[in-house]
Amino acid sequence: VSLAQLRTKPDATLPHAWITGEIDLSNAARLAGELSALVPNTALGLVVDLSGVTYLDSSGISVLFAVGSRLRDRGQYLRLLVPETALIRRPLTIAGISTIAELVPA
Amino acid sequence: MVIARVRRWGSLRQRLVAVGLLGLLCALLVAETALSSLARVDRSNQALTAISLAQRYQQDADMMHDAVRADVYNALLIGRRVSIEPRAQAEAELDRHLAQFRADLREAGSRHIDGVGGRELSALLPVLARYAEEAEKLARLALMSPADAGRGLPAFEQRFHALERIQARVTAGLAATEEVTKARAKAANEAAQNSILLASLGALAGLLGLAVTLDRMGKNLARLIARERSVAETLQATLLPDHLPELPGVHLAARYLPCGQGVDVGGDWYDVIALPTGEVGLIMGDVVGHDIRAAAVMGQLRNSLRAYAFDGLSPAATLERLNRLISQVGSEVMATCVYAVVDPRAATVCVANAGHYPPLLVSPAGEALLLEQPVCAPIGVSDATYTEKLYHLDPGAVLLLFTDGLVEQRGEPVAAGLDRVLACARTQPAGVEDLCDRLLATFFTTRAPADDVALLALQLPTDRSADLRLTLPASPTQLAALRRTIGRWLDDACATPQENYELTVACCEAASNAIEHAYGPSAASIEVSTALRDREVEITVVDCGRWRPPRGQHRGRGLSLIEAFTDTMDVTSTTDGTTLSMRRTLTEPATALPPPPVRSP
Repeated sequence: VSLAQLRTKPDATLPHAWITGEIDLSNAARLAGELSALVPNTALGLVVDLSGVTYLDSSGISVLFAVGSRLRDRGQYLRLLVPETALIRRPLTIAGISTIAELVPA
Repeated sequence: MVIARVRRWGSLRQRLVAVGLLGLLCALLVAETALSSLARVDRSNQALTAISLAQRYQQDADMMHDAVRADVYNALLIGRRVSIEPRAQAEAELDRHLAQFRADLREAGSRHIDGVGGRELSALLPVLARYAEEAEKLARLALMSPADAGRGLPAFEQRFHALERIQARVTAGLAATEEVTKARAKAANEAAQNSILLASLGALAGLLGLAVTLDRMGKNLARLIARERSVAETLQATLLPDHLPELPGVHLAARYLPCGQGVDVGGDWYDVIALPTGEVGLIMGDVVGHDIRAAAVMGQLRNSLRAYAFDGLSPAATLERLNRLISQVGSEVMATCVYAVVDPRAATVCVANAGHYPPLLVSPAGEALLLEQPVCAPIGVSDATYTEKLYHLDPGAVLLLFTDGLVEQRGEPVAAGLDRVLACARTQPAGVEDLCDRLLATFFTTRAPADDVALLALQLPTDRSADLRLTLPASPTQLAALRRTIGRWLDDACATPQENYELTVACCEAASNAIEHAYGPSAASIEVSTALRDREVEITVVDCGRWRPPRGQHRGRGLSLIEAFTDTMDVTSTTDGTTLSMRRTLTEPATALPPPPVRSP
């Protein structure tokens, strides 16, 4: 995915993912699979660092919702790192991401 | 293909040599026959000469043996004292006749004659010699003792008459042999004439065969060349874009002018790539060689370059990978290539150049300059490294990529050619199409180009805040480019970064919805237009499909984002399609317009 890059640190307890670049309809679906595969049953949850994301549309937000609801069903949590000043913060808030994930400033 | 041609050439050459040799052999064989016939004519003529000489001497001998007989009778008369002729005179006469007789016999015997006449002649000569001896003895006896001689006379007479019969037979035999020999000479002569005629015909046939074979070879070759050319042309045609993509925020134009001589098909290629980042990749390249191989190499280069470019590699990194790949393939490829990435939003172009002519930049004021930078090696030089350089593009500036056919002209230094092109470009650029047309019309109206000419021109719109009207393929990969263009337009409209981002999200949500839901799997397009009235921005997204109410939370989220980020949103749906209009009033700019970023080339 040339628009966005995904870097991961697999971990049995708390795996991390760093996303940079832009997420839209063209690459969101692939991101969903890669994020879900990162979380083993033993993990408490998943931390996704979105500080490097410069564009995020509703399909990207939907991916986060899908990953978040899956983790919640398994008793795991999703923590999203988004700086206070990031432009993507407002769409995430409007979409109600806090109902499914923990939004923390990076 | 080339190998096949060489093979066919080989077989054609073999055939040519075979036909030539065959013609030669025929001519030689027939000439040989003619020569042997001529030799036979010569031999027959020699035989005829021998026969006629033998006949002459035999006739002389015939006469002499009559004369000798007369001498015998004369001697008898003298011996009997009947004649008063002096004895000495008779003896002298006898000696003279005998000498002549024997000389004739020797001459006749020295001729070699074949056939009946020859055999009978050689049988006759010893008989005649014995006759001469007897005649001499008898004549001398007659002079001394005529009575004794008179007793030997009947036997001599008998011998004489017998000789006459043999003589006649020999004459007839020689005549018959002469006839046969004459007939043989005539036949040999005719055969020689016929053979010479045949030899000429044979040589003519050989030449004709050669001519026909050469003609056929020529036609075959012409057909092969025509086929190779058409294959190369087809190959090249499939490798050049049949139309340029319509990209938001840039004007594009391209020209291809083939030199169209002989089998040559240019190895020039150009390409325009809509990069996923919304940037525009421009490629101009020239493969060394003018045949099918060059066209095939062109295809490899084009696709490899596209692949690296799509992966988001910078121009220099792209050329470096391309060079490494081509060097690894091991084919002896040599190509020049320039790869420029234009960012319409940042108004920049990043150029990497592998031994190609530098791009030409025409400023809005009409100044033309070459974007020269340190020369890097052509593609195909192993371990080459490439550098890139970033240039600023003013609104309205035209970037032109071209191949050597535009610049190079027989009998003119390259620098002079470049000056000509710069001078021609150095006028107020009306647009990309005009610049391309002007260059071709100026240089190639009166003469055909020495090499293929390819031109690729790009221009950033002069008035960046003018209303946009974009037509895009309905594909998710177009969204990035759309974001760049809308973002740049909102920048020019002095939207704050947050307004810019939110309106861009709203616009792209509407476009995503159209792409995802308005169409089936077939190709289609969407239209996006913008307008700015006072501080109110209006963005309209039109699709030709049927609007479907949002399905599931995902699309619902898109619509709620549009609603959240705009003041009003209207959806008009007809059977022809759906129009979504959104409006938002921008805040007044806090300060005067900031000066545009200046980066000199």
